[in-house]
Amino acid sequence: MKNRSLITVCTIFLLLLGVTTQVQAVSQFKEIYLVMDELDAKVLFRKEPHDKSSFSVKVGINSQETFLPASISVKGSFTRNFLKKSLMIKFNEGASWQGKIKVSLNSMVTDDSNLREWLAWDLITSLGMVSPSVEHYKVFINKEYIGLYLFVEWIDKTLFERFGMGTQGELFHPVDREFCGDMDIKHVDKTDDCWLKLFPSKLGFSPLEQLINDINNADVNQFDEFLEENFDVDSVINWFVVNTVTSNGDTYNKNYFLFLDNKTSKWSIIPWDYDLSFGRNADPVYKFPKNILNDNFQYYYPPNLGSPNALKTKFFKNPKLYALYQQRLRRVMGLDVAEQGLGAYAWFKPENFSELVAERKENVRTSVFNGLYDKTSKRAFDEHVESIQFYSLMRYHLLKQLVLTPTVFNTWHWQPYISYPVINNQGDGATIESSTATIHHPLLLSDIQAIDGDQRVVPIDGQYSRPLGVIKIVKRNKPLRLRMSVETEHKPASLPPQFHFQQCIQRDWYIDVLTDEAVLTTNITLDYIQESSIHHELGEKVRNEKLLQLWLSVDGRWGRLPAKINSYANTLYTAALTLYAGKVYHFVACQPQTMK
Amino acid sequence: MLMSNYSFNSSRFYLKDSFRFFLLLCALLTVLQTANASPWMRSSGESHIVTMMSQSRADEFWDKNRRLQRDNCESKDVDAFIRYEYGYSYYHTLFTDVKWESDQCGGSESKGIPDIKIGLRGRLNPYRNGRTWQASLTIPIQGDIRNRSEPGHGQFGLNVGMYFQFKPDPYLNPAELGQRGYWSWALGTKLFTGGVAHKAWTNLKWSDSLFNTSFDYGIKLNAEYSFGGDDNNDSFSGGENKRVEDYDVITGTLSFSHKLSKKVKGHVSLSQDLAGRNTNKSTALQVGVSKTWK
Repeated sequence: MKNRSLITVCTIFLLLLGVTTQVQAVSQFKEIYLVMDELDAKVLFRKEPHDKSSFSVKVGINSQETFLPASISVKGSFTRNFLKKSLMIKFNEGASWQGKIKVSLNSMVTDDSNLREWLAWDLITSLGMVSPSVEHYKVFINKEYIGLYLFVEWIDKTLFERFGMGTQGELFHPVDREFCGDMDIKHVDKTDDCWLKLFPSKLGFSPLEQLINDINNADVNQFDEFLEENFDVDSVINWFVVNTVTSNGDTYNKNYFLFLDNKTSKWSIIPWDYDLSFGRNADPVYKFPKNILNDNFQYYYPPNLGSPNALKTKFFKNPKLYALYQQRLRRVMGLDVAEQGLGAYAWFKPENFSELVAERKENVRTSVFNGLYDKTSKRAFDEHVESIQFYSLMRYHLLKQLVLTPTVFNTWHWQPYISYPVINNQGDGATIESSTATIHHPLLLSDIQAIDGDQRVVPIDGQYSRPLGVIKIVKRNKPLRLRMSVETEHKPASLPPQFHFQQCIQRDWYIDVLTDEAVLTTNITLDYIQESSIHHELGEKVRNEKLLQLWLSVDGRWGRLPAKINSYANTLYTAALTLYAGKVYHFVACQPQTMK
Repeated sequence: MLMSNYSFNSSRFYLKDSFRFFLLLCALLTVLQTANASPWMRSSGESHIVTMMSQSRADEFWDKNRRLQRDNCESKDVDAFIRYEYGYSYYHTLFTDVKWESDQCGGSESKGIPDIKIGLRGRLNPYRNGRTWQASLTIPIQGDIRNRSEPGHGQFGLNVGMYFQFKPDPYLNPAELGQRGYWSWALGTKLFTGGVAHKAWTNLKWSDSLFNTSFDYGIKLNAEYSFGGDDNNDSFSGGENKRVEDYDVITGTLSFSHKLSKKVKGHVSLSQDLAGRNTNKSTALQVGVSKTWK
């Protein structure tokens, strides 16, 4: 009996120790304390989304003992429609924090991982771009925990001064809801509608209008010289590289800053807004909020993803600039040893990236579930973080082949990646002007991998540069060659008898070992397409991806495999599968009928 | 001003005259506004200005037995109105408006600024906009327009109203934000000094967007009813007067507004008196612009 009591006491002690450890983990993020009227504190988050009122607040940051007087308001555009609002704090006259009169806090409400923006800014900073300081903060109002936020340093004169660019420049930003900050000549007459002049307001839009005219008049073949003369070229190259790596399509007509340094008369680009990145994908058909908050996921978009933009078009058509872009991409992917030591070297190399994500995940995980306005579930958080890891692996191999080692018949200019019609969506998802019929582009993809170590391989189709899955070698008896083939976007060739094809993913996966007498044990990740509501591989009767089952056919016999489903990354993972030479392994994924 | 008049069968002279008025009034940023103001609360620190002008006509009236009669003189009026609103805080919006009127009937014409209004708007629900109360004071200004026969003209007045927009909760049903159509209902009263009749009014409106989210339309039915006057047995016989103290009227309005730029909207509306008692049967066309900024 005494022993039992001792065990109980020890257990409680260990549990408490665990809790203490957890609390310590929680406290790793800095904290902002806000004190304001109780009603104002509720109204701030629950008022009409587009109300721009501000409220009095006192602000304490970290261990700061004095609370600074300020006003607080909701910032942003799309995120206004959620209870967890992005916030803007503006200090009263005479007050500031770290020289700043404004503090911007992003709610990250559209990203269940709470990591995407931070990762993008980490890359941007690593590249040495002019960029704001970015850090996760825990926000409390009247001692109540509101949620985890991303502090993004306000972009003002002090930021440019910090980068040695003085305070005399001019800063422009496309108006979010107008979608016309694309430097197209047809918008040059409405710059005051399409752009905000952030400072100094009295000088107007003439430098920007001049720039737009010059870009549109510049010769593509001499565009490298034009860029050298008018831009901080590094900022432009980095912008495209960051958008390529993160697969950020929510830009080029909005979500970036243009800064004119009046000392050098050169323009710089400061990227902005990376919540729709690392595989996240807006939907052209769904209404708000599902147009942004959806299960869409995609990693194989080309480098020019995003809205048309005059600067982007000419940049990618100019051979010298494209070569510089490739070189910078090689650096970020850690493929050019000569660039070792330069900013962001190997940042996107899968091992490094995976480590970066895993480290930050542990900190974020302790802070995202208990905020007053947090709605993220643990499963959604884990799936999103895992999807970022999966994205990086697939994207890395795709870019390596598609952009850095293309063949004559395989460049991204040729590929049918943008596979759905552009639909005029009004930003709030209010207008739908197209057929919602699902579209299909069936492809037969195949690759042979030589395996001579215990490694992880990502077979990738030579013609379309499309990754086919992830095969982790656990054990093998000899060096071997392995073939993986995928037939996409079509009715599976055969199925277990209990399934109708509409209950299944419209895809077949095949693996066969080509080396005689070879045997290997593998962990396999298979994925399917769910790019949008009109381009996906879900059978009509697949209602809940979480219920998908992975089935394997060998020698005409079907058996179910234990599998872990990530319905966001669209992956099925099965472990410890032994494969033998001379057999073809055919996989399908189906959802059993469920009672309504 | 819903009850003012617009000439559709205008003469050449009248067109020139109207155009001159239009230029003058636009230059002065003056406008005419509907009788019942917008219920929208301004964000704190936000300014909103609306200017409208109206041309209206009436050559018929309803007598005390609701029979439509031919008027012996056709009313041709031009009204101009300007309103400024300011978000004093999230909870209170201040506003003031001033109106200039020119009323013609036969050979007689009266014009001037009958009054100005100053008012306060507040929230009935702390979290929702469009659900508001409003109170304003009418302060009479000297001018021969004050002699026009309409209850309350030339008197101090207190206007009180409540407004309800029935939009879905943006957080409970975010998907419904795309369905922009919604009903509004408002009611209120205007109380005057000087022993003249007071007014009660109510209206119901359907609002929605056409083509895209920057083009809106509204269909409104407004009812106005006088009470408490000294001469409840008055009989209206048209002429220079618009109505007598004992009256009621129902007016329909079709309105359109289009976003012209980030801050500016254009407005057009057509109002028609549909039924009434002891009042002119007016048709009015209103054109204006509004600007919102912070």
